[in-house]
Amino acid sequence: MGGFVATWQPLFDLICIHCILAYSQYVALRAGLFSLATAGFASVGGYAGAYLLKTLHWDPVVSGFAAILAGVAAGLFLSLPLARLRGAFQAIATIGFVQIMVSLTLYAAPFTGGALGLNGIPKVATTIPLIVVLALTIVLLTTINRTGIGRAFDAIRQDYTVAGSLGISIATYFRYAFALSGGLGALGGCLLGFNTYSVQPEVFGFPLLVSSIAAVILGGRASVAGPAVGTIFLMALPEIARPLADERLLVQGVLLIAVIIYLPQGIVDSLLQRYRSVKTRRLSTVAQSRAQEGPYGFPSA
Amino acid sequence: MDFLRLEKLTKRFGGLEAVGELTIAFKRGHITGLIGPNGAGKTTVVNMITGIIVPTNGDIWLGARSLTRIQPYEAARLGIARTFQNVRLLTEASVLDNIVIGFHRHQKSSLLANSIGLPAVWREKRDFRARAHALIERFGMSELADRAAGALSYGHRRLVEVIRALALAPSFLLLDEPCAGMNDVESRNLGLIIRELAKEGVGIVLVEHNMRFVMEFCEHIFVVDSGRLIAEGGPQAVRNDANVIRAYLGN
Amino acid sequence: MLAQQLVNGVVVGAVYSLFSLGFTLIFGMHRILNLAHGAIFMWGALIGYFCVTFVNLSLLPAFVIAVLGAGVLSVVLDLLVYRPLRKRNGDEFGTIIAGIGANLVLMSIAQQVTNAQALRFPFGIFPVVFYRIESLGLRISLQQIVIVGTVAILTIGLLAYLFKTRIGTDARAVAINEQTSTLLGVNANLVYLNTFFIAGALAGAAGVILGIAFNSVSYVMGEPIMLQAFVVIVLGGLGSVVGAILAGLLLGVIQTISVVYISSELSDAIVFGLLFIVLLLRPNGFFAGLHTEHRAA
Repeated sequence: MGGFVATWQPLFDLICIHCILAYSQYVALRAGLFSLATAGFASVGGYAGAYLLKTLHWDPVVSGFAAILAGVAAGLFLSLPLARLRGAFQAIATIGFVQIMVSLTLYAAPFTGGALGLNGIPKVATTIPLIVVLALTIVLLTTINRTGIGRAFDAIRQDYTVAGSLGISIATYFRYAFALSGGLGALGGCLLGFNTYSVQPEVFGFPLLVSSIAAVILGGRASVAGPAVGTIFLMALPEIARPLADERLLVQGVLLIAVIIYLPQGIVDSLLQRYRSVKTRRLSTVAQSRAQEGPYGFPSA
Repeated sequence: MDFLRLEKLTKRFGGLEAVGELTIAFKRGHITGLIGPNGAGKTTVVNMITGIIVPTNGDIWLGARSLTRIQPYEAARLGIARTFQNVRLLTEASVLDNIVIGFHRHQKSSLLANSIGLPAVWREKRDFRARAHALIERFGMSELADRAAGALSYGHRRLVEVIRALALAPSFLLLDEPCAGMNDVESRNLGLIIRELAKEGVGIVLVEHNMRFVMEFCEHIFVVDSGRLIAEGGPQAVRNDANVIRAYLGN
Repeated sequence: MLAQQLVNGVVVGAVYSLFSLGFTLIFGMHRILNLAHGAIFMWGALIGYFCVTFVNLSLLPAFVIAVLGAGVLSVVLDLLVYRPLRKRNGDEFGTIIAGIGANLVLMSIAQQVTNAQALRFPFGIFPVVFYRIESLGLRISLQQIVIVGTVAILTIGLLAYLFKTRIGTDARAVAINEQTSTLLGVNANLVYLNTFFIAGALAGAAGVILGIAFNSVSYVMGEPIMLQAFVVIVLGGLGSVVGAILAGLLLGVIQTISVVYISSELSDAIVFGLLFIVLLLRPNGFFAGLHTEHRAA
């Protein structure tokens, strides 16, 4: 039993952390933002948390909160130029942001340790704290989905012209989504450092950008379960077969293409939709048998 | 807030003048038609009033408030609602959810409150859902409340769009070709609905090609051609106006 | 000294322009943000390298084959990735994701093929000749002249295609309204293939040029240039040919000067600071190729 836990615990920890990172990406997409900035936010949070904890010896929880705040600030900073722009620009600019974070952390050596990064970070993010943080994140996102924010996000994402015509301030909700995405991304990055003893510039580079977006595309970007399912799938894949592990980027690339063409809503949302359409088909036959013609002369559909 | 006024409203796209020096006024509680041949600039006018397009010249006034350079969401919050030429609903959401979103303008709870899920937020949600149900019932569509909006017939979808616009509690409702694709019975019933709404104080601006509908339900009509006003008046006057006949039928 | 850096900047900028032209062409014509464009560029360089080292071709035929090969690869990209997406009514988001995926696939294959090593063209592949202009304190190499000349020729060729040939005119019609053009007899699919081929060919040319100029070909060389292209098209306007050219030259100069006079590390940050400022002030660039009259918010 001990052997089993010892073998799989590190993977479980990483799944929790990558889940939070996937949620950072999810929030942006849910709101209709074409932001791919999660890896950059993770860099902000990872280095902020690590620096505060390891170099300044702050309390771990306080360091964590400070990291989240740094991420929120980064998100709001990005939203300044990007909240009013079209999707393509947001995608380009946020990819650029990830690269610039890698450059900055490589060269701000006095604070960030340059290419070597910061090492010897105390492992304070063990499995139980990770599960708690993940659970809190899921509760937060579920609440958001069920309230007016979720409604506004849906409207903006599906038809932003209609959303505007109904009084939804798209810029406001984009700013909010950026701030939330920033906070969650920073949280994930911080936890990564607090769990794996170190942070380096390349850890928060293009591969992390890809894995975050792949998890959400694969799992689904509407329901809260989507990113979690996608993360588990992606992280379990290398464990199944060696070649899949070696060709990580190639596999993710092929998956991205295949899923976005043939299953664009992702696994979870496609299943949910099929369940819902079965349900409404049953409802409609009931409705039809009750009323043949509605008032105002409109024939029942 | 009684009048929606356009003053010398002009829109040029590059070298092309889509709307030229349009000066017209719409009144609350009245049904006003805005008609003209295809390409006359009617939808552009609607887009400018609702803030989607910025005018090149001229002004738009809602009472004493200038709408000329506002954003779309501001226009909505000031009580200007609209429907679209190609009915735009959230096709996967239920009819009820589509209408609940229409109440967004009335949302009082803050972003923060909505993030943590304070009690006030759930109360507001229940309130919106109840009001949405009431609206749906008023138009006799209760049976369809939980259906996916995309699964409805065309006539029903148009109606849902109108109901959604009403959720805003608008002072002015801009209808962009609401009768397109409807048969005579359906359009007549839509007409009866908008007459009711006008009686309740909503100012209806009707952009429409269906002449019988326009003549029957509009109290005052503005005719535009190539972006310019060529005639205005009651249905009879406009029907017999030489300029109007020429614009539609050519020489 | 400054004059020399200006010249260097213009040369580098010319290559950025060449690369960005293909990118902006695909977007301007078909609203596709082809994020795999950098990988095509990289494969152009690789094909050129392999022609020279394994097939023992001299530079010019190798260049031509690399350009054609990159064009073909770009067409395959459209056929396998973007066209199925179009058939299923994919949106802008879908093409971005698909582009990222395609980029990954192309890079991974290149990584395998090159064993993740940086490769060098054989010494002497291009004659090392310099010209001095004493009065201005300039030292210009033959390579620099050929680079700028090649870019100029290709650019003129592109403009001629767009405005003088039948297919180019068809392409512009499709860019304005695909449905109507199709009804008028234009073969939209053929136009897509053309656009992708030309864009890929231009990228491949840029790849070989850069591979020789900086004496390095690696599977990651497409990444930094994609980012330069981002800045170029934001500055120059998405879809604007003139904008891509001018902005590319400008970026080359700015970058060269900041590397020399400030620091090579900060030059990246400077360039991106510029990007964000432009996004804040004039997101449609200075030469908007497409009208964006409709506001989102």
